[in-house]
Amino acid sequence: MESSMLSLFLSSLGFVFSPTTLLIMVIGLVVGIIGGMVPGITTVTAIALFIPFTFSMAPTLALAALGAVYCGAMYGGANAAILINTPGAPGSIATALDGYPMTRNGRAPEALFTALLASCFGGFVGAVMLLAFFEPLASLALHFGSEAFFWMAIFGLTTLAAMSQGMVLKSLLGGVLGLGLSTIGLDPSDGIPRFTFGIFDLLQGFDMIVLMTSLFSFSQMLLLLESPDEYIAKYRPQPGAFLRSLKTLFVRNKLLAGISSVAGAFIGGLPGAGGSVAAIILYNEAKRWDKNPERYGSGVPEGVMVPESANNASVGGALVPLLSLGIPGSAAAAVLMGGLLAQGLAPGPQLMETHPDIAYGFIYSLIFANILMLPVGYVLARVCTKILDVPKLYVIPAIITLSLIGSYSLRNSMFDVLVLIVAGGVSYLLLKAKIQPACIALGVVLGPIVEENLNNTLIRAHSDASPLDLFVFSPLSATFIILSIVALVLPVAMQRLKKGKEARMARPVSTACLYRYDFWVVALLAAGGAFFLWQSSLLTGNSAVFPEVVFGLVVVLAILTLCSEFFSEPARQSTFSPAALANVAVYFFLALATYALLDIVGFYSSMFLCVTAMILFGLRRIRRVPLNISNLAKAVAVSGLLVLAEWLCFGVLVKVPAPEGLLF
Amino acid sequence: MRNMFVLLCAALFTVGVIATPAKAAWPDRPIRIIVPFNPGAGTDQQGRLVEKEFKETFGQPLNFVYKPGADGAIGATELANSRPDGYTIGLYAFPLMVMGPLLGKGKYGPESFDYLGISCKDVAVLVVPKDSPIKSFEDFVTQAKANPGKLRVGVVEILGPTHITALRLQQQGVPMNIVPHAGGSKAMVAVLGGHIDALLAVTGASLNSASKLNFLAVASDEPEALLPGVPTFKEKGFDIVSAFARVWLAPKGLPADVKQRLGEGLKSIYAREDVKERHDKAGLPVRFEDGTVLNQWIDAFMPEARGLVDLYNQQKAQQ
Repeated sequence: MESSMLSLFLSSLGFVFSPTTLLIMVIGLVVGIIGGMVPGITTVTAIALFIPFTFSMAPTLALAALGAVYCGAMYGGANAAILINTPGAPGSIATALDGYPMTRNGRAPEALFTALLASCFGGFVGAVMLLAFFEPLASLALHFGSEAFFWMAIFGLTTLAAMSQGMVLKSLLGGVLGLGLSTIGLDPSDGIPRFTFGIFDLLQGFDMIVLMTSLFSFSQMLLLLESPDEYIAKYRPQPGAFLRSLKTLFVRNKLLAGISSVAGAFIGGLPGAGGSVAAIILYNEAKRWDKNPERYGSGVPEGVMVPESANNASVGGALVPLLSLGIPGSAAAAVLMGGLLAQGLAPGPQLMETHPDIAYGFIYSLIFANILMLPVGYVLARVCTKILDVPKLYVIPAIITLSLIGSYSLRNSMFDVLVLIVAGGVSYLLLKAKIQPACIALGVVLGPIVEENLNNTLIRAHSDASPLDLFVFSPLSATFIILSIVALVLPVAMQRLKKGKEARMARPVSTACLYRYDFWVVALLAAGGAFFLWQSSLLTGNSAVFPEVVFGLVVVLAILTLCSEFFSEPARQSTFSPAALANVAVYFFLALATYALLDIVGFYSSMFLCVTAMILFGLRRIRRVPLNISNLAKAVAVSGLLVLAEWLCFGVLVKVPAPEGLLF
Repeated sequence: MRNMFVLLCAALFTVGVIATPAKAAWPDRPIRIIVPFNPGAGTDQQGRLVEKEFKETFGQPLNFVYKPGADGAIGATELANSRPDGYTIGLYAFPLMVMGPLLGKGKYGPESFDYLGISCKDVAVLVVPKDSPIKSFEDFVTQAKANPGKLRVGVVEILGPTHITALRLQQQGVPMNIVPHAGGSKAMVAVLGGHIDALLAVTGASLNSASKLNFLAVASDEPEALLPGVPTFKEKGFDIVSAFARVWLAPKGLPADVKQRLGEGLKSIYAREDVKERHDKAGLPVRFEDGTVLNQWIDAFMPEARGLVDLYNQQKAQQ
């Protein structure tokens, strides 16, 4: 046994270090990283895109290539999250919380390198765990029944309480709004339409990635319009940034990095949980156990390191159920399985027995891909920083059009493009009322997990004497319940303790809040919540349970927020400036006009018009530059190049069948 | 100015000439294939398993377009509304495609399509983990009857083949607690982890985990070659036959020659030995049938389908 393991190891080593393998893996990593960065291209799309290229390859080479794409895509989202606050993938939501503030503080290179190092390290640990412990990990994962998943997702939601200091109620409100968004479409228990109001397009529900893109990319671009700065963030080269990132990871926080990687791999191994859940939970834990939790969110490297290492470690974990049980643990693993099947290989326990050379070759190549990602990612990160040298008037239309075609490409649905624009506008308005997109995003990501497992547990509980047996008294349920309570109570208690007497002093009731914008936004949410609560009460059976709870919570939290507003300081100023609002409105309606033209004129032509119009408007009204021929020519040239690049990426590479319309 | 106008006209004309499709033989460009589920799901595999051969046979590649949602009804609606020119085809599964419109999910009917061929049949099977106290189908029935409505049996899609099997078993006197799952892989984890007592799965999803499972019964007419020694429900006295038929289809009204070429091409692909072997390994053994068979199946199944919807609604009301 020992000798056969050794020979396997040696032959795998020979395979991994052959020039062909190296070249293919570098290509895979580049495709993955770029795919991860672009909004709307997910890990799944990136891998699916690469599968046809692997048909002519030998199985081990094909798997090495797909594994490299997988690793690259999981990491790539971090770059966009850090530089422009637009997480390219759900796994990078938590990364943006500290990564973007670092960019604003002029520490972009350090944040990028920290994300890269953490991803490589996490991915490496995850892959080694896959190699060393896949049997025990698999049997551990099997202990997680629906009740454990339910409570784990609730535990993930408790992050909300700690997300924004001093505004716990609004964070919670944002979170339940996200949960509410996830209930629209076919309900998961009976498969019948819910909250669709006869609109056929609503049947498919809101796509999670489209909502992510609109919450972060789109609304973030509108927000960027407000400031008079010429660039997204002041950027100066940071000498020694790489060294400093190395120190962050391996000297100051080696224990934290290790723990988040190991835990990330474990959470990734739970079918249905995945990298985004791992990153969110571990970010929250790192914050909670820190000596000074408030520093998280202001731009600390640890806040980038923890979610990125967990996110990439989850790759190794997600492959555990695939290789040990033949069950794909994530959507990305399912596509990978498709690639295996096309090669005539069936994943699962029999692959380990009948083709150990392929199975172990794959795992070793995965370990190596994470090492190789360091130089590849380094070069790409250096290139990406250049975006900070581009005036934001060019960046904004670029990201907006990328989001448009990215959202379309996910399900080839025009409806998703409309959702992107409208939800982006709404989330901008909510942001102005201090309801953070990150909170809504958390609800959107965790909502389906909560509901699916709640329903499943409710049905399973029919077989027990009391539903409490499963929901409360099973060991994993009890553990997560206790953890959730601690997570909810601790931040509030800490705040009380710090503020001391000041907090307990009653402020006089003031009606000043009635003149504030955010008060009326929350009031509107309360009314909307009440409407949906009434709609939920018309549903039958299990499909009513989750919406009733969620929209009930929307109403309760909104009313509590309203009440607390009466006791808040009257001095708070409105955050709106009329000029900025007008600019935002123009860009929003330009995007909407583009949507209207997509079908008629063609996708790429209308995106070209959109970019040109946005650049010209920006030059004239925001930068106050007089328009002349050279400006005009420059705007047209930039738009043309940009749309050409988008066409090459989506039209040629990803082969998105976009509507062609009259022109193109 | 005049020159500009002439130039513009010339340019437009050139573009027009290039853009006008020459009357060439079908297919002269890639073919869109609508997969109404997520990448990686069983339907995606159905297409991906022959992607290579499709290109060899027809000379044009397949462009996979994923339109997931509503158990496939969203993608099927899109397909039904596509132009029937042979450049848009799709994949779907019977009986799900019949159930969708009955449950108010899709804007299409079985008559909206031309059926090109049935590639595989994914038969419903009853499985338990290897270490389960339930060792045989008789054990299963005894246990279910001893604790009426308490035995947890997992199924996958609502009114898909596994759910239909469960409803039929219940109708024929085996009371149980039917637990629907969102996807075959999650259901498999639930049964392997002991969170449910047994699982009704389809062969394709269960053969990859075969070494950890005991197969108790299979819902086919004849015993399955891939599952030697596993009895059919019929042999055990339950009249239950239920399977996914994986279908290649196109919007209604294809040109006759294109339809014929597609049908014959698919038939020749699925007749190849290497293709069959690959399907066996994937747990999706090839059972090719002509598309015309499906029309008969649908006609025969319609009354039963309505009955099943009623049965399901009754059972829900009782809970």
